[in-house]
Amino acid sequence: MTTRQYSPTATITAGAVYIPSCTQLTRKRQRRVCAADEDAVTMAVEAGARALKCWNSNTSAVDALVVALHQSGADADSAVNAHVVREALGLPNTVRVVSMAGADALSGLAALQAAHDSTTLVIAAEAAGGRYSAAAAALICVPTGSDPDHAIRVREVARASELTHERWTGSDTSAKEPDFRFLKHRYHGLTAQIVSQDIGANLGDVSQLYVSAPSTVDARELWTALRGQDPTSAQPRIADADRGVSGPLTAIVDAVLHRPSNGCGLLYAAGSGQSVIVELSVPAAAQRHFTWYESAVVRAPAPSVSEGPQLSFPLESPFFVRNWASLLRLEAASCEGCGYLALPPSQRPICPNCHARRWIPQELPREGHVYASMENRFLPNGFPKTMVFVLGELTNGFKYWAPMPAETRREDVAIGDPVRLGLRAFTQRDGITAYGMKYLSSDPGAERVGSAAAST
Amino acid sequence: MTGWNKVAVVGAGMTEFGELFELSLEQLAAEAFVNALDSVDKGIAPERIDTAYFANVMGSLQGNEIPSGATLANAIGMPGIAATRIENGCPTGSDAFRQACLAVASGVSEVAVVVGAEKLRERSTKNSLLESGRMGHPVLSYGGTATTLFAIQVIRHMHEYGTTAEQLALVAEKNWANASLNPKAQRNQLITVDEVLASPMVCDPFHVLDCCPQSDGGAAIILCRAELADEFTDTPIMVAGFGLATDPLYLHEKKIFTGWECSRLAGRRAYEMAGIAPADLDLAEVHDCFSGVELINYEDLGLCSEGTAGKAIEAGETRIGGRIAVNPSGGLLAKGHPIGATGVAQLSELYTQLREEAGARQVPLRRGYGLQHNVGGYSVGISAVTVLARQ
Repeated sequence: MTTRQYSPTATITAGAVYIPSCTQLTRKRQRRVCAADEDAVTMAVEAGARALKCWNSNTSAVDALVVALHQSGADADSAVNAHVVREALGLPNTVRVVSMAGADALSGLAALQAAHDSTTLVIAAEAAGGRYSAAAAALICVPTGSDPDHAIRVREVARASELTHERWTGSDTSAKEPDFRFLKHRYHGLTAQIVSQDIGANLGDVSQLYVSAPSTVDARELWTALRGQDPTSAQPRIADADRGVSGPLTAIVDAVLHRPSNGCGLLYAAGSGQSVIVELSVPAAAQRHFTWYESAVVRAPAPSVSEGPQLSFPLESPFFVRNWASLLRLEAASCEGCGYLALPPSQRPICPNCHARRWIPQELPREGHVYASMENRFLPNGFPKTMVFVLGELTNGFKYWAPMPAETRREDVAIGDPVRLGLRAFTQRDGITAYGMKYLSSDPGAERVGSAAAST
Repeated sequence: MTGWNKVAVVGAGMTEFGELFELSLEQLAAEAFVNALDSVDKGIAPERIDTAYFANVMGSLQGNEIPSGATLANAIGMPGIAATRIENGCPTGSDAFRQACLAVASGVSEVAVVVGAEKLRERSTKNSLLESGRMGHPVLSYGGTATTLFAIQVIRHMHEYGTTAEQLALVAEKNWANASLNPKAQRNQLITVDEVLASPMVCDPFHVLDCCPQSDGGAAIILCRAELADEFTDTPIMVAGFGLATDPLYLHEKKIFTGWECSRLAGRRAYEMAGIAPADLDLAEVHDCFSGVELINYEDLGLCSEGTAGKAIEAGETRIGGRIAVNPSGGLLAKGHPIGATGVAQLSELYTQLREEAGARQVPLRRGYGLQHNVGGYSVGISAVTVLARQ
């Protein structure tokens, strides 16, 4: 048995989880999946914005942004995507941006572990279909030692290695039924290796155990093996955090929202080549700074558009790129003379109200109601067969025009309905996606803060 | 006779509107020009025309060279003439006419011709005007099309005033009936309200039959200084007034949503210049690109009071023989909408009606005033109104 001393890895003061509202039956199991225009970037922004709101501090206090995004497309440009997330969250241009490579739970945990020396927003988002449920989680980490009373401490207590890979199907052709027996054997080896170490935590205090690993890892078997180190330990609440890259971070938010009396939990994360166990210490005061967004209203994702020529790509157009950042931030220009709001800012050099020529950026509210809506059933090539459009009146009285996601039908929307604006994808080329605002149905019941129930 | 009256219309003509694959843009322009020349009562030599305006919107998007005034000058066999191409959204034709009026009234020109021509059917419907929905404008695009931009106001009108889908369909039924009396119209059958309501939905609240077609076509009009009119005809039609106005460009900046401020402003300017009130009109050719838009035009142009357009169409007030005939030509809905030619063709209809030469669709005249109106452009931001009058 090897013994190793690990230092504290992260101190977390706020966090949020975003679960998409589409579902799909895959491998005999209903999983949450992205809507047709959702991906890891849009989910990262949903989670990140909520975490910043819970944190209740100015975005200028963020020193670094660390993101781990697992897109479904193999060619996704992770560097551009990380900066799209930064811009959409309104983080300063000076923020240090780190994009973690990898597509498994270890990438998400590594993102968290990269945040220990400065105030860091850590986001992990899993958009890939099939094996994992889609989700995104965002945590605000502060430098170790500056932790307030409500901070969660995450401490690594064990780590083991075993070369393997998660793309295993047990078949040399995709036509055959997958056979995971050998993969399961490899992960058993990884588990055996880590439980053979002296876990630097008091197992008797552990009241929650999260497993963020391929489905070949059995959580109860893991606990049985761990309990070998302390046979007197009572079985904790065991939960799968089967959400890929976002798994470890969603588990931490869940641990806060389901805080047991002693506030002690373990998280086991495994990916290609390594497994890690971290200890979670959750103080009682932490809950009000965490939130979990998961709509109970679910539907199947709209089919992707395949017919007709590809859409022209806005990001090849300087005309669009001039407005790219303000579009991601939902930012208008406010006249310094009279407060008139202009949009897009680059097209209104002179105020039409007072003729002043000095403007200051002003973020628009994201909430509002439907002022008028319609379903367009005759769209240019490259768009879905139908799209619902909304002219919304935002809470400041400003009107904003945007479509709704392809899953929305005409009968879902009526004048006066509450809606919110969220970032969604429009079109993509060469791994870069053009994003813009869409109206989303407002679902206040989906937001659960503090002691309200949440589950992984 | 009140009004500006510095310019007279002495000839007008148009081509058939429709899907005219056998005719080029230049041939359409030439045919309209020749028809206008032939309509001049006392005849006119082409050389007598010193200035030409070419109303055309989409020419450069059809794969040809970017059209200019030279395109028109050569099409009508007059290279060397001072010719200008005008593109100004849906009011392109009417604004080209307005520019010609200004040139003639200034004394720079004695006799001018305005030729509008458009080829929209060279490409499939999805690949022509709808292309603008693919181009990535941060506010206007993302699949939004002309229908979505016009639908907003109609939906709000229905919400606030109780205007119904049946009342919208009555507009289409009326204009198709009028077009059935117009041999140049693209659509010349009769349709019923039920057929409109049963036709496929394009974009709420517009069914296919609530929408105008995309059209090929040409129209031309000849105008001169008022004091020269009797050289060409004994029954010239006078330009009593006109107005051009713009609107806040984007939806979020509009101040009203049951009408278009630019139409109201352009209408007020034209009425003031002509020295008349809406009640003085015998007929109006208005921009009915969609059925509900015609209803809103009634109110924007003062043809009925705010919120009552639905009742006006139900009562038959805007049919030929009604209180004020609207779109006796069949309008954009049924005569067709080759954008650059549309306004010129509307003026051509007024010229014909005010000279009482419209045959089966002739509107009974009382005061001898007719109004022409366009509204459109990106995000419905520009409108033109013209008032013509009998001498």
